[in-house]
Amino acid sequence: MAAVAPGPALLRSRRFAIHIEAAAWAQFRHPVPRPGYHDLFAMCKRGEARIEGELHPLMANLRYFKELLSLARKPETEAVGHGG
Amino acid sequence: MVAKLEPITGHYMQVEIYGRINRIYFEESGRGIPLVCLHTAGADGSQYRHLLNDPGITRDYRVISFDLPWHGKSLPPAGYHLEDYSLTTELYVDTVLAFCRGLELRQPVIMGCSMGGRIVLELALSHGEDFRAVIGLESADHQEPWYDTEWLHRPDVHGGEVSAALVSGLVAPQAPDEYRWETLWGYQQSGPGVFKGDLHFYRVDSDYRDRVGDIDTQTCPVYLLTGEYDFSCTPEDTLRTAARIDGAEATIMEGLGHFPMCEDPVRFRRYIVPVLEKIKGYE
Repeated sequence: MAAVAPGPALLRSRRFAIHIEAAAWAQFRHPVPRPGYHDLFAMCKRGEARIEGELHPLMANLRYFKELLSLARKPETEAVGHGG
Repeated sequence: MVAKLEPITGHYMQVEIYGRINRIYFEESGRGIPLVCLHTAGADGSQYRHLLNDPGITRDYRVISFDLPWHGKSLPPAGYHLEDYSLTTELYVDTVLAFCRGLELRQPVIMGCSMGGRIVLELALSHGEDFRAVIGLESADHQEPWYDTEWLHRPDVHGGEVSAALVSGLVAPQAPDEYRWETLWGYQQSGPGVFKGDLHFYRVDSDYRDRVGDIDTQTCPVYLLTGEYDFSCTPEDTLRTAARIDGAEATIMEGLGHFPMCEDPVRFRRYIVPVLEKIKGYE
Protein backbone atom coordinates (compact mmCIF):
# COMPACT_ATOMS: atom_id res chain seq x y z
CA MET A 1 0.00 0.00 0.00
CA ALA A 2 1.45 3.36 -1.07
CA ALA A 3 -0.59 5.82 0.98
CA VAL A 4 -3.74 6.46 2.97
CA ALA A 5 -5.17 9.91 2.27
CA PRO A 6 -8.39 11.49 3.48
CA GLY A 7 -11.04 12.44 0.94
CA PRO A 8 -12.82 13.86 -0.84
CA ALA A 9 -10.82 12.70 -3.87
CA LEU A 10 -11.91 14.90 -6.76
CA LEU A 11 -11.35 13.79 -10.36
CA ARG A 12 -8.86 11.16 -9.24
CA SER A 13 -8.03 8.43 -11.78
CA ARG A 14 -8.38 4.86 -10.55
CA ARG A 15 -8.44 1.26 -11.78
CA PHE A 16 -11.28 0.31 -9.52
CA ALA A 17 -13.11 1.76 -6.53
CA ILE A 18 -14.97 0.36 -3.55
CA HIS A 19 -17.69 2.63 -2.20
CA ILE A 20 -19.26 1.88 1.19
CA GLU A 21 -21.99 3.98 2.81
CA ALA A 22 -20.71 5.71 5.96
CA ALA A 23 -23.26 4.02 8.23
CA ALA A 24 -22.47 0.60 6.77
CA TRP A 25 -18.72 1.22 7.13
CA ALA A 26 -19.23 2.04 10.82
CA GLN A 27 -21.09 -1.25 11.25
CA PHE A 28 -18.40 -3.14 9.35
CA ARG A 29 -15.72 -1.73 11.66
CA HIS A 30 -17.44 -3.05 14.77
CA PRO A 31 -15.37 -5.77 16.51
CA VAL A 32 -18.15 -8.30 15.92
CA PRO A 33 -20.20 -6.83 13.06
CA ARG A 34 -23.88 -7.60 12.72
CA PRO A 35 -25.02 -10.04 10.03
CA GLY A 36 -25.00 -8.28 6.66
CA TYR A 37 -22.21 -5.88 7.64
CA HIS A 38 -19.46 -8.44 8.23
CA ASP A 39 -18.25 -8.66 4.62
CA LEU A 40 -17.81 -6.40 1.59
CA PHE A 41 -20.03 -8.56 -0.61
CA ALA A 42 -22.69 -8.80 2.08
CA MET A 43 -22.90 -4.99 2.04
CA CYS A 44 -22.92 -4.99 -1.78
CA LYS A 45 -25.83 -7.42 -1.75
CA ARG A 46 -27.70 -5.09 0.63
CA GLY A 47 -27.02 -2.18 -1.73
CA GLU A 48 -24.95 -0.36 0.90
CA ALA A 49 -21.63 -0.82 -0.91
CA ARG A 50 -20.65 -0.99 -4.57
CA ILE A 51 -17.58 -1.88 -6.57
CA GLU A 52 -16.77 -0.10 -9.84
CA GLY A 53 -14.10 -0.07 -12.51
CA GLU A 54 -11.69 -2.72 -13.74
CA LEU A 55 -12.26 -5.60 -11.33
CA HIS A 56 -9.40 -7.87 -12.38
CA PRO A 57 -6.83 -6.48 -9.91
CA LEU A 58 -9.40 -6.78 -7.13
CA MET A 59 -10.52 -10.32 -7.94
CA ALA A 60 -7.01 -11.63 -8.63
CA ASN A 61 -5.94 -10.37 -5.18
CA LEU A 62 -9.23 -10.63 -3.35
CA ARG A 63 -7.93 -12.08 -0.09
CA TYR A 64 -5.45 -9.23 0.17
CA PHE A 65 -8.04 -6.50 -0.41
CA LYS A 66 -10.57 -8.04 1.96
CA GLU A 67 -7.98 -8.36 4.71
CA LEU A 68 -6.90 -4.78 4.04
CA LEU A 69 -10.47 -3.64 4.65
CA SER A 70 -10.75 -5.73 7.80
CA LEU A 71 -7.67 -3.97 9.24
CA ALA A 72 -10.00 -1.02 9.77
CA ARG A 73 -11.90 -3.04 12.36
CA LYS A 74 -11.69 -1.61 15.85
CA PRO A 75 -8.39 -2.54 17.53
CA GLU A 76 -9.83 -4.93 20.11
CA THR A 77 -10.62 -7.26 17.21
CA GLU A 78 -8.01 -9.57 15.83
CA ALA A 79 -7.91 -8.24 12.27
CA VAL A 80 -5.73 -10.91 10.66
CA GLY A 81 -7.65 -13.93 9.54
CA HIS A 82 -11.05 -12.35 9.32
CA GLY A 83 -10.94 -12.14 5.56
CA GLY A 84 -13.68 -9.54 5.54
CA MET B 1 4.72 -40.88 20.86
CA VAL B 2 1.74 -42.90 19.70
CA ALA B 3 -0.48 -40.91 17.34
CA LYS B 4 -4.11 -40.24 18.10
CA LEU B 5 -6.24 -42.27 15.70
CA GLU B 6 -9.69 -41.01 14.77
CA PRO B 7 -12.56 -43.52 14.55
CA ILE B 8 -13.22 -42.58 10.90
CA THR B 9 -12.62 -45.12 8.13
CA GLY B 10 -12.39 -44.27 4.43
CA HIS B 11 -13.32 -46.41 1.43
CA TYR B 12 -13.64 -46.12 -2.33
CA MET B 13 -16.62 -47.45 -4.25
CA GLN B 14 -17.06 -47.84 -7.98
CA VAL B 15 -20.56 -47.09 -9.07
CA GLU B 16 -22.24 -46.50 -12.42
CA ILE B 17 -23.94 -43.13 -12.91
CA TYR B 18 -25.39 -42.28 -16.33
CA GLY B 19 -23.56 -45.24 -17.84
CA ARG B 20 -20.15 -44.09 -16.60
CA ILE B 21 -18.14 -45.68 -13.83
CA ASN B 22 -17.41 -43.21 -11.05
CA ARG B 23 -14.83 -43.87 -8.35
CA ILE B 24 -16.24 -42.28 -5.23
CA TYR B 25 -14.50 -41.77 -1.92
CA PHE B 26 -16.45 -41.83 1.31
CA GLU B 27 -15.78 -41.78 5.02
CA GLU B 28 -17.88 -43.23 7.77
CA SER B 29 -18.06 -43.63 11.51
CA GLY B 30 -20.58 -45.05 13.94
CA ARG B 31 -23.46 -47.49 13.78
CA GLY B 32 -27.21 -47.27 13.62
CA ILE B 33 -29.35 -45.01 11.47
CA PRO B 34 -27.49 -44.09 8.26
CA LEU B 35 -26.89 -40.33 8.05
CA VAL B 36 -25.54 -39.38 4.62
CA CYS B 37 -23.88 -35.94 4.49
CA LEU B 38 -23.56 -33.78 1.36
CA HIS B 39 -20.83 -31.13 1.18
CA THR B 40 -21.10 -27.61 -0.22
CA ALA B 41 -20.27 -26.58 -3.79
CA GLY B 42 -16.58 -26.68 -4.69
CA ALA B 43 -15.60 -28.47 -1.47
CA ASP B 44 -15.52 -32.08 -0.19
CA GLY B 45 -16.88 -34.43 2.43
CA SER B 46 -14.26 -33.67 5.07
CA GLN B 47 -16.46 -30.71 6.03
CA TYR B 48 -18.37 -33.20 8.21
CA ARG B 49 -15.35 -34.63 10.05
CA HIS B 50 -16.50 -33.23 13.38
CA LEU B 51 -19.79 -35.13 13.21
CA LEU B 52 -17.96 -38.32 12.31
CA ASN B 53 -15.73 -37.81 15.34
CA ASP B 54 -18.59 -37.06 17.75
CA PRO B 55 -19.33 -40.11 19.94
CA GLY B 56 -22.61 -38.55 21.06
CA ILE B 57 -23.78 -38.74 17.44
CA THR B 58 -22.05 -41.89 16.17
CA ARG B 59 -23.51 -43.90 19.08
CA ASP B 60 -26.85 -43.96 17.27
CA TYR B 61 -25.97 -42.85 13.74
CA ARG B 62 -23.79 -44.35 11.05
CA VAL B 63 -22.49 -41.03 9.73
CA ILE B 64 -21.33 -41.24 6.12
CA SER B 65 -19.80 -38.39 4.12
CA PHE B 66 -18.81 -38.79 0.48
CA ASP B 67 -16.97 -36.64 -2.02
CA LEU B 68 -19.08 -36.01 -5.10
CA PRO B 69 -17.36 -37.06 -8.36
CA TRP B 70 -14.83 -34.32 -9.35
CA HIS B 71 -14.42 -33.36 -5.65
CA GLY B 72 -11.95 -34.29 -2.90
CA LYS B 73 -10.58 -37.80 -3.36
CA SER B 74 -13.34 -38.87 -5.77
CA LEU B 75 -12.23 -38.85 -9.39
CA PRO B 76 -13.96 -37.20 -12.29
CA PRO B 77 -15.22 -39.91 -14.67
CA ALA B 78 -12.85 -41.00 -17.46
CA GLY B 79 -12.92 -38.54 -20.34
CA TYR B 80 -13.33 -35.53 -18.06
CA HIS B 81 -10.61 -33.65 -19.95
CA LEU B 82 -12.90 -33.41 -22.97
CA GLU B 83 -15.82 -31.74 -21.18
CA ASP B 84 -16.80 -28.89 -18.90
CA TYR B 85 -18.13 -30.08 -15.56
CA SER B 86 -21.69 -28.93 -15.02
CA LEU B 87 -23.89 -30.32 -12.26
CA THR B 88 -27.65 -30.60 -12.80
CA THR B 89 -30.56 -31.56 -10.56
CA GLU B 90 -30.91 -34.84 -12.45
CA LEU B 91 -27.23 -35.78 -12.15
CA TYR B 92 -27.09 -34.77 -8.48
CA VAL B 93 -30.19 -36.81 -7.57
CA ASP B 94 -28.94 -39.84 -9.50
CA THR B 95 -25.53 -39.59 -7.82
CA VAL B 96 -26.98 -39.50 -4.31
CA LEU B 97 -29.36 -42.37 -5.08
CA ALA B 98 -26.57 -44.42 -6.68
CA PHE B 99 -24.39 -43.85 -3.61
CA CYS B 100 -27.13 -44.87 -1.16
CA ARG B 101 -28.07 -47.94 -3.22
CA GLY B 102 -24.42 -48.84 -3.66
CA LEU B 103 -24.10 -49.13 0.11
CA GLU B 104 -27.54 -50.77 0.42
CA LEU B 105 -28.61 -48.13 2.92
CA ARG B 106 -32.15 -48.53 4.26
CA GLN B 107 -34.09 -45.33 4.87
CA PRO B 108 -31.09 -43.08 5.45
CA VAL B 109 -31.33 -39.54 6.71
CA ILE B 110 -29.84 -37.12 4.17
CA MET B 111 -28.21 -33.94 5.39
CA GLY B 112 -26.76 -31.43 2.92
CA CYS B 113 -25.34 -27.94 3.16
CA SER B 114 -25.78 -25.11 0.65
CA MET B 115 -26.17 -26.85 -2.72
CA GLY B 116 -26.49 -30.02 -0.63
CA GLY B 117 -29.26 -28.26 1.27
CA ARG B 118 -30.92 -27.45 -2.03
CA ILE B 119 -30.87 -31.03 -3.34
CA VAL B 120 -32.35 -32.50 -0.14
CA LEU B 121 -35.52 -30.57 -0.99
CA GLU B 122 -35.69 -32.30 -4.38
CA LEU B 123 -34.93 -35.66 -2.75
CA ALA B 124 -37.74 -35.13 -0.22
CA LEU B 125 -40.05 -34.18 -3.07
CA SER B 126 -39.32 -36.89 -5.63
CA HIS B 127 -38.00 -39.73 -3.44
CA GLY B 128 -39.39 -38.93 0.01
CA GLU B 129 -40.44 -42.50 0.69
CA ASP B 130 -36.79 -43.61 0.47
CA PHE B 131 -35.59 -41.36 3.29
CA ARG B 132 -36.24 -41.28 7.02
CA ALA B 133 -35.88 -37.48 6.98
CA VAL B 134 -33.90 -34.72 5.28
CA ILE B 135 -31.91 -31.94 6.93
CA GLY B 136 -31.09 -28.86 4.88
CA LEU B 137 -28.29 -26.66 6.19
CA GLU B 138 -28.19 -23.21 4.57
CA SER B 139 -31.06 -24.49 2.48
CA ALA B 140 -33.64 -22.69 0.37
CA ASP B 141 -35.74 -23.33 -2.71
CA HIS B 142 -33.99 -20.45 -4.51
CA GLN B 143 -31.72 -17.54 -3.74
CA GLU B 144 -30.39 -14.39 -5.36
CA PRO B 145 -26.85 -14.60 -6.80
CA TRP B 146 -24.26 -12.16 -5.47
CA TYR B 147 -21.32 -12.51 -7.91
CA ASP B 148 -20.49 -13.48 -11.47
CA THR B 149 -19.29 -17.11 -11.60
CA GLU B 150 -17.07 -16.25 -14.61
CA TRP B 151 -14.45 -15.13 -12.06
CA LEU B 152 -14.12 -18.68 -10.78
CA HIS B 153 -12.45 -20.24 -13.80
CA ARG B 154 -10.25 -18.14 -16.05
CA PRO B 155 -6.54 -18.20 -16.82
CA ASP B 156 -5.64 -14.86 -15.24
CA VAL B 157 -7.18 -15.46 -11.79
CA HIS B 158 -6.32 -18.39 -9.51
CA GLY B 159 -9.60 -20.28 -9.17
CA GLY B 160 -8.90 -21.67 -5.71
CA GLU B 161 -7.74 -18.34 -4.31
CA VAL B 162 -10.67 -16.33 -5.64
CA SER B 163 -13.22 -18.97 -4.64
CA ALA B 164 -11.94 -19.04 -1.07
CA ALA B 165 -11.76 -15.26 -0.87
CA LEU B 166 -15.32 -14.92 -2.14
CA VAL B 167 -16.82 -17.39 0.30
CA SER B 168 -14.67 -16.22 3.24
CA GLY B 169 -17.30 -13.63 4.06
CA LEU B 170 -19.92 -16.35 4.47
CA VAL B 171 -18.12 -17.59 7.58
CA ALA B 172 -19.43 -15.95 10.76
CA PRO B 173 -17.06 -13.48 12.47
CA GLN B 174 -17.23 -15.59 15.64
CA ALA B 175 -15.86 -18.74 13.97
CA PRO B 176 -12.55 -19.96 15.43
CA ASP B 177 -9.66 -19.08 13.10
CA GLU B 178 -8.52 -22.69 12.89
CA TYR B 179 -11.83 -23.87 11.49
CA ARG B 180 -12.41 -20.78 9.33
CA TRP B 181 -9.18 -21.44 7.49
CA GLU B 182 -9.72 -25.18 7.29
CA THR B 183 -13.08 -24.47 5.65
CA LEU B 184 -11.45 -22.10 3.17
CA TRP B 185 -8.72 -24.63 2.39
CA GLY B 186 -11.40 -26.85 0.85
CA TYR B 187 -12.06 -24.09 -1.68
CA GLN B 188 -8.40 -23.26 -2.21
CA GLN B 189 -7.63 -26.84 -3.29
CA SER B 190 -10.71 -27.49 -5.43
CA GLY B 191 -10.20 -28.73 -9.01
CA PRO B 192 -10.30 -26.18 -11.84
CA GLY B 193 -13.84 -25.19 -12.80
CA VAL B 194 -15.46 -27.52 -10.27
CA PHE B 195 -16.96 -24.80 -8.04
CA LYS B 196 -18.28 -23.07 -11.13
CA GLY B 197 -19.73 -26.35 -12.42
CA ASP B 198 -21.50 -26.94 -9.10
CA LEU B 199 -22.94 -23.44 -9.24
CA HIS B 200 -24.55 -24.29 -12.58
CA PHE B 201 -26.82 -26.56 -10.54
CA TYR B 202 -27.20 -24.04 -7.73
CA ARG B 203 -27.86 -20.97 -9.86
CA VAL B 204 -29.40 -22.27 -13.07
CA ASP B 205 -30.94 -25.70 -12.58
CA SER B 206 -32.56 -25.77 -9.14
CA ASP B 207 -35.28 -23.16 -8.80
CA TYR B 208 -37.76 -25.17 -6.72
CA ARG B 209 -39.99 -22.29 -5.64
CA ASP B 210 -43.03 -23.69 -7.41
CA ARG B 211 -42.47 -27.26 -6.25
CA VAL B 212 -41.43 -27.41 -2.59
CA GLY B 213 -45.05 -27.01 -1.48
CA ASP B 214 -45.65 -30.55 -2.73
CA ILE B 215 -43.23 -32.12 -0.23
CA ASP B 216 -45.07 -34.49 2.10
CA THR B 217 -43.43 -34.13 5.50
CA GLN B 218 -45.55 -36.97 6.87
CA THR B 219 -43.59 -39.26 4.57
CA CYS B 220 -40.27 -37.42 4.81
CA PRO B 221 -39.82 -34.88 7.62
CA VAL B 222 -37.88 -31.73 6.65
CA TYR B 223 -35.59 -29.77 8.97
CA LEU B 224 -33.94 -26.54 7.80
CA LEU B 225 -31.16 -24.82 9.76
CA THR B 226 -29.48 -21.62 8.56
CA GLY B 227 -26.77 -19.45 10.09
CA GLU B 228 -27.63 -15.82 10.74
CA TYR B 229 -24.42 -14.64 9.01
CA ASP B 230 -25.20 -16.44 5.74
CA PHE B 231 -25.87 -13.69 3.21
CA SER B 232 -25.84 -16.18 0.31
CA CYS B 233 -28.68 -18.40 1.52
CA THR B 234 -30.17 -15.91 3.94
CA PRO B 235 -32.33 -16.69 6.97
CA GLU B 236 -35.18 -15.03 5.03
CA ASP B 237 -34.64 -17.43 2.11
CA THR B 238 -34.85 -20.40 4.48
CA LEU B 239 -37.87 -19.12 6.42
CA ARG B 240 -39.73 -18.41 3.16
CA THR B 241 -38.94 -21.95 1.97
CA ALA B 242 -40.07 -23.50 5.27
CA ALA B 243 -43.30 -21.51 5.14
CA ARG B 244 -44.12 -23.15 1.79
CA ILE B 245 -43.58 -26.69 3.11
CA ASP B 246 -46.35 -27.81 5.42
CA GLY B 247 -44.76 -29.33 8.52
CA ALA B 248 -41.17 -28.22 7.85
CA GLU B 249 -39.21 -27.00 10.86
CA ALA B 250 -36.80 -24.07 10.43
CA THR B 251 -34.15 -22.84 12.86
CA ILE B 252 -31.95 -19.76 12.49
CA MET B 253 -28.59 -20.42 14.13
CA GLU B 254 -26.94 -17.55 15.99
CA GLY B 255 -23.25 -16.85 15.48
CA LEU B 256 -22.98 -19.19 12.50
CA GLY B 257 -22.54 -18.64 8.77
CA HIS B 258 -22.79 -20.71 5.60
CA PHE B 259 -20.61 -23.64 6.76
CA PRO B 260 -21.92 -24.45 10.25
CA MET B 261 -20.62 -28.02 10.50
CA CYS B 262 -17.03 -27.08 9.77
CA GLU B 263 -16.64 -23.36 10.57
CA ASP B 264 -17.71 -23.74 14.21
CA PRO B 265 -18.47 -27.37 15.07
CA VAL B 266 -19.03 -26.79 18.80
CA ARG B 267 -21.65 -24.11 18.21
CA PHE B 268 -23.30 -26.17 15.45
CA ARG B 269 -23.58 -29.19 17.74
CA ARG B 270 -26.05 -27.30 19.94
CA TYR B 271 -28.41 -27.00 16.99
CA ILE B 272 -27.98 -30.32 15.19
CA VAL B 273 -28.08 -32.71 18.15
CA PRO B 274 -31.71 -31.90 19.10
CA VAL B 275 -32.74 -32.46 15.45
CA LEU B 276 -30.97 -35.83 15.34
CA GLU B 277 -32.61 -36.77 18.65
CA LYS B 278 -36.05 -36.07 17.16
CA ILE B 279 -35.32 -38.05 14.00
CA LYS B 280 -34.15 -41.00 16.10
CA GLY B 281 -37.69 -41.28 17.43
CA TYR B 282 -39.27 -41.81 14.00
CA GLU B 283 -40.16 -45.23 12.71
